[in-house]
Order: sequence, then C-alpha cells, then structure tokens
Amino acid sequence: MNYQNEQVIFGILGKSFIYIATLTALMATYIFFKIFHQQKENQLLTNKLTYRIGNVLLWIHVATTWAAFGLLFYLLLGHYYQYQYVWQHSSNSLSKAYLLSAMWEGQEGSFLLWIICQSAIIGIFLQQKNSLLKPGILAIMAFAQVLLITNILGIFHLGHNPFELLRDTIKDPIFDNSNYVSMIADGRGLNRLLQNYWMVIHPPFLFMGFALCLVPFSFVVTSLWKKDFKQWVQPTLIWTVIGMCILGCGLIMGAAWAYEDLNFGGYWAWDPVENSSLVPWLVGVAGIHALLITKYTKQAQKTALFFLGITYILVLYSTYLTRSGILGNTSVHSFTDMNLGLHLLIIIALQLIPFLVLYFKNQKYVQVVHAEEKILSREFFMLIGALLIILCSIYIIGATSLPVFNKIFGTHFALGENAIHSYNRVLVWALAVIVFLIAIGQFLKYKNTDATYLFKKIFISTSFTMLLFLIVLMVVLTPFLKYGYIYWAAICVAILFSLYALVNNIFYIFNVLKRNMKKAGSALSHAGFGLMMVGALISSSQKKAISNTQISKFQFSEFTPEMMAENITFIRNQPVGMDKYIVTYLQDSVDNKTDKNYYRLDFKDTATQSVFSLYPNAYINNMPGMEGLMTSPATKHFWNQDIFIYVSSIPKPMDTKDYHTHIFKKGDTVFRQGDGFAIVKDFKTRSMKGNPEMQFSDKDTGYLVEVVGQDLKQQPFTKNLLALQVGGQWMRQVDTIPNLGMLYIENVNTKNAQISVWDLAENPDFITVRAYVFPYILLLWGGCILMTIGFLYSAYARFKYKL
Amino acid sequence: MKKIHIILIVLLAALLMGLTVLFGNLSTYQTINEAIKNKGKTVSIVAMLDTTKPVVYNPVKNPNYFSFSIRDTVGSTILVVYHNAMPTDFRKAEKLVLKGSVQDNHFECKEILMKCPSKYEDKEQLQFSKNTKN
Repeated sequence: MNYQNEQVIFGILGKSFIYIATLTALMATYIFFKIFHQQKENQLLTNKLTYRIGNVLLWIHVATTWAAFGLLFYLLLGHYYQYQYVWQHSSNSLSKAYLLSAMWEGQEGSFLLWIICQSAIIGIFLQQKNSLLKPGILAIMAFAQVLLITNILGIFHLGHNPFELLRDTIKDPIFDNSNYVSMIADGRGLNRLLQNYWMVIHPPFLFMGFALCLVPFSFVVTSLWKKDFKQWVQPTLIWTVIGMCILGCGLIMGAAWAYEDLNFGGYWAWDPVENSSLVPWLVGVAGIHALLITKYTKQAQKTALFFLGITYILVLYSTYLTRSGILGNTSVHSFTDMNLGLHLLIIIALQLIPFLVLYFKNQKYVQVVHAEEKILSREFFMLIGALLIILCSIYIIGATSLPVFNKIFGTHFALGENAIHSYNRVLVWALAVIVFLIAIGQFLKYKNTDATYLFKKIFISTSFTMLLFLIVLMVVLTPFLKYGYIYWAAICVAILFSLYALVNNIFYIFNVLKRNMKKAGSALSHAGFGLMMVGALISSSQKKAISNTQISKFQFSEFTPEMMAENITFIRNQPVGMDKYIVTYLQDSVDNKTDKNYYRLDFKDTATQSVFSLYPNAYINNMPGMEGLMTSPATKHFWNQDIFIYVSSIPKPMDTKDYHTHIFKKGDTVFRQGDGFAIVKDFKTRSMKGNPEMQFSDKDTGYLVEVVGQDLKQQPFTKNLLALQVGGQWMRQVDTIPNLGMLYIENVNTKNAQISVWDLAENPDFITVRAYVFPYILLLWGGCILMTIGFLYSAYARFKYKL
Repeated sequence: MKKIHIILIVLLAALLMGLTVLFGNLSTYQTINEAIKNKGKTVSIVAMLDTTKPVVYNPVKNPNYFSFSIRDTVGSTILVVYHNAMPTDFRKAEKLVLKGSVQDNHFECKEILMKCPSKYEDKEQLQFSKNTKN
C-alpha cells in the first residue's frame, strides 16, 4: 500500500546514520588497535595513511551519532507521530523543554544520549596531539561505542531502533488506511512525573558522567596493554575529577527531583536506580584518591588501575540492573523490559574480561616502591579512606544485587523489613570513619608528618568543632530512638566528625594554604562533603512526620503499627492541629493546561499567627500502563527547615448515583452542617407563555425554588433554583451552595417541591495527606554546591597550574 | 607484617560484619501458608488481590487503616491489614508484593509494591485518537 505523507525519508536517514556510525566505529576500532599494536615509543605512526583513515572514520562516527540525535529531536519537534518513538514519548501539548525529557524517556533515546556524550569525548581526544597511548585510547573508545550502539541498532535482533515507523512496530487496523498519518492526531505523551525541569537537565549530566568514566577505563587498559605506567597518571586524574564532578551533579539533581516531585518522602531512598549510579561515583572517587597517592608517592598504582578500570564496568552493570528488568519485584520504578538482559551482559563481558586478563597478566610490570609506612601520612589516610569507600560500594552493590543473586542461585531473598534502614545502619559507621579521615587527612603531608605540627595546626579547629557539636547537640538534635540507642550514637558520632571535616577543611584553607587558592580545590570539596553529610544526617534522622497524630515527641516504649500511621485526613474547611500549625484544607482547583488538581492547605502558625499556603497536587493518569493517581508534593522552605506535604488519597470522583431525591415542603431543611444550613423558603410554577425573550408555548412551564440560609461563616445567602419544561423536555440546572452541597429541581407542584440533593456532609470533600518536617535541609544542598565547586576548581587548577 | 595488612584485615572484618548484619536481616519470599507457619517473622509474599473479599478503606474515618485479602498461586488466602493509606493505583495492580509478617490471624503489611502491566506489554491494546490532524 502507498501511504500518504509518511515521510519515510527521515527513518531511512536516521537508520543510515546509526548504521554508518556503527560501521565507522567498528573499522576505527580495528585500525587503531592495529596502529596501537605496532606503534613503538620512538616512532609514532602519525603520518601513516591508515592513521588518517582512522581519524576520518572516527570523525564520521562522531558526526553521524550527533546527526542521529539531532534528527530524532527534529522528529519530536515536528510531531511526526508516524514514528514509533515520537508517538510513544511525546504529545502535542508538550512544551519544547519537555520534548527534551521525551527525548531521553525511552531506552533508545537515553542510549543515544549516552552515545553522543561519548562521541563528544572521542572528538576531544581526536584533536589531542599524538602519543603512544592515543591510538589505544581511541580504539577502546570506538569499541565501547560499537557495543553501546548495538542497543539501538534494531537489526539482527540487536536492540531497538528509535527510527522505526509506528506501523512496523504495532498492529492496528488504522494502518489499512493509506492516509493513516493524518489520522494519528496526537502522541501518547510523556509521563507526567518526568515533566519537571530536573528531568530536562539531570539525565544529560548523568550520562555525561557515565561517558566520562570511559576515559579512565581507556587509559587503564592501554597502560596495562603497553606496560607503560608513566603517561597515564596526570591526564587520567584530571579527566576522572571532571567525570566524578559531573556524575556527582547528576546524582544530586536526581535527588533534588525525587525530593521535589516524587512522593518518596525524601531525597534519597536507596532505590536500586539511585544505588546503581552512586556506586560508580564512589569507586571513581576512591580511584582518584589512589591515583593521587600514585602521583605523589609512586605507591598504590595497582590499586588505582583496578579501581579506575572497574568504574566503567560498574556503569555498565548499573545499566544492566536498571534496564534488564531483573530488579522486578524490588523497585518502585517501572522498568521496561526490552529483552536487553543477555545483550547487556555480553557487552559487560566483552569489556570486563579483556580488562581483567590484562590486569592480572601485566600488573606485575607496575613499579612497586617500597617505602617505610607512616601512619601520620596523607597517603596512608587516603588509602584507608579509599578502601572504606570501596567497602561501602561492595555493600551497596551487594544489597542491590540480591535479585541477581536470587536468579543465579534460585534463592528467594529480599531486604529486611525496612530496606532503607538496612543500608543506613551499616553505612553510618563507615561514614563516621571516612569523615574523620577527611578531617585529619587534609593537614597531613605526604610521606610523614610531625605529630606536634599536626597538633598545633588542628588544635583550634578541634576545639571549635567540639563547641559547634555541643550547640548542635543541645539545640538541634532530639534523640531518634526508633532503631535503638546504638544507632543513635552512631548518628551522633557521624555528625560530630562531619562537622569536624567541614571545620578542619575551612581552617586548612585559611591556616595552611594562607588563602593561596591554587590548591584549595580538595579542601573545598571535602568541606562541601562534610557539610552535605551534616545536612543529610540531621535532616533524615530528625525528619518528623507531623501528620502523625498518635506519636509523642519522646517515645521509649515499643512502636506499634498504629503509632507509625502517618496519614491524616482533612475535611474541607475543618481546621485540624498539626504540629505547631492549625491546618485547613480550603479548596481544590484544576490547572487546565496540565490537568493537575491543586489542593490548597492553609497553615497557621499558632505561635506567630502567620499564615502560609501549600498546594500539593494530584492528577489522574490515563496513560495506558500507568493509570492511577499521581501526586506531587509541595514544600515550604524556611531557613532552618522544610515543611513537606503530599496527597496520599482523594475522594472518589463525584457520581450521579450520590444524588438523592427528597420531597420538601416550605420551611424544610435541605442542608445542615456546622453553622451552615439551607432551607426551602418558597416555590412556585409558572407558565412560560408570553415570555418576551423566548418563544414558549402554552404547555411550557417554569419551576422556581427559593432556598435561603447561611453558610459556614454565618453569612446569609439566597439561591434561586430554576428548571424548565419545554415541549415535554426537562431542562434542569445544577446549583452549588458553597461548602454545603449541590442540588437541582426534579419537579414542583403546589404542595411540595421534589429536589435532588448531593449533600457534602454525606460525601465530604476531603484529602488525605502525609506531611513531614525536614530540619536543616539547606545544609545538604549547600554542601552539594560547595562540593561541586571544589571538584570543578580542583580540575581547573590541576589543568591550569599542572598540579 | 606491614601496617597496611593489619588495616586490611580490620576492614575485611568490618565488611564481613556488615554483610552478616545484612544477611541476618534478610527476609525471604514465601507463600501464604509458609508465612502463617513462620508467624511473626518478616517475609515477602507475591500474590493477587482476592476480589471475592471486600477492600476496606475509609479515609474519613481512619486514613491509616486499609484492609483487603490476597490469594497466592496455590490458592490460599489471608486478610491483610496495612496501617497506611490505600495506594492510589491499587486496583489496577495485577500482582502485589507485600512485605510484613503474620500477626494473630492477619498479615500485618509494612510495604506494598504493585506490579502494573508493563507499558510495552499492552502496546497491542492501545487506542488511537482517530481525529484528523490539523
């Protein structure tokens, strides 16, 4: 059949881009491996023809991957719904910014995003001057691109291509029409939860972070291959710092999104999706520290090689966990299974096995420096810290991988009753030690440090920290005993040392560096980490459900399920005390553009009498496969705490069955609720003949009912109900009496009036919410920003001053 | 023995301790009958909603009481009490994963995970809006 207006050319073009990108990357892999293999230190093969061909091939690869990305975005912009990806992930009403989130909502688009990030890095490396390692690095990167691209190839049962036509992917009678394109008016649209600005900017950061992990991997593998361990240290250090900075930003933005728009009830829930991106960051950071030791003392090189090599493998493993569907029963995220499981495992194996083989074969060529170890040396502290971070990573990835474990061994394990606590209870101890090492380590020198020098330098900051901690302990903290005294003690110790890390690193900038900011990057990022942890520990341990009406502030007895109840129902206009606030649910209103329902809750502070309103929202999602009520929280920010509230239940939509017809005489009460009431004052029927405005016949009748009363605030009102019978047809109109109910006339005769009533007292308008207080959460975000600045500055300074 | 080795041993011991804590507190997936046998122990149950029994949730009366019955693949059923709000997409779920423990004669649920039909699986049944494109 000949289809009209189908514009298949875009699909052909897009697919060609992807095929060309695959082929060029494949050929470049071969060429650069060959050059790398032949190239010797004293004769760089820059001018050989094959080298130039390889360069051209890679440039074509870079161009075609970006072109494919650009074309897919163009199709989204133009609403070409005959293309499956466009139809599935976007709609007419979507604003341009959210078309970007639609771009990476699906598997194919997000792989494409990752691919172009790696392409950009390849582009940068292509422009660098030739070195012994360069062809090897290009070969490994090109190979990684080949493997990634197989996920969106769409041929030979490899992945799924984003440029498929809709009619090739689903069966529907609509495709029997030659002009079916004009019949698809709109796409399925984007999941509402992803229509948030964090979702526009956080995936590019995350995938750029993922892509940047490829750089240390490439350096590690080429160095191992060539048994050359001199050149890799400095460039890898800078690249990894940039990579971890960007990946860290991505993680933080993800947390901000979860806090702002998801009803997780927090910013971090140890969800498998979060964990699997956190672990590569942790291992990468451990790798940076090992590499610093190598740079300054020539030690720990094998450790650095292993950590930095495995980082990229962990990125791939995280992709496997989140996209293969294996997490199944353990995650709230709905993962789409496109049968990528085996495919991704093969991709991992193809990069992990060569890495491991090379590592264990060639690590013996790493020069080992035997030096006397001093405990009071920076490298010793950094190594212990790095190892601790690795232990945390093993713990996190182990707990997250339980479904994989179950699949392999046929077991049926799941995390304990409280999954979040399973992580916190163990990691809080490791954190306490890590922040302690951060606090002291900054003041230590490489090789050895004089104990009296150290004592002199940290005396003031230690005293200051103690004082600060005492204040925090007295003013801010209330014992959190749900998980016992030991856990609470661990939290206090972790808070103390996090404060110590913050204070010491700031003192270090002023006292040791004497404000010479050249080397301040590390102190800034570590101070930021300390601050972030202070914020995280305080806000999550002091997080309080204020919607919990059954629990007192100090609770020493056993916790029963009833006490843990955290939902509270607000009936419209009925004030309820919650924490120090009198809260009233006032109204709901629909935003016509987004179909979201906003519920207005007024909070009146009983102490200061000041009032603020919060508007948590909810909407009914009709998108197939995602039906249900979706709610997003609202947050009131104070300098010292956030009030965080979200809707957990709303009444059923109003049903005509809920109207009841009653017979009223004059003076009868229609509604009564609180101070409000409504009474039928008068009713009459009237012939409509002779009405000047409209032409009515003899038989047409008008019915009038006058209802009077007062509303909940004792304000009187009068309401005139009207119904018409025109040509035997009833014309009824529903009237609303605010806060009391709705009603319309059934019939009226001389003795009585029949009125259908929907009584709000019987069908109360209510919302059920959960509300929390997050104290001092600003510290967390401040710490995140400070840490990011530190990372950026450190990368910049190392690049500029060749540190 | 070098100092770093001692530290390594200490760290390894810490990791083992951590993993012991983790594994000591794991729950397992069980059938309803097994869960009844292990009364009071935290387990995870994969089951379906028993549609023949009532689903009770009245947020005006008590927003923290939600009860329903489940049936597993073997056919055994049990009453579930969840001291929380009814999850909003509860009725759409084709499979429920419940974490909690059997108390007296009911299952005291701590966590509900709903498995809704995947958006790729029901692709065949999707509706088009067959209007004319402007």
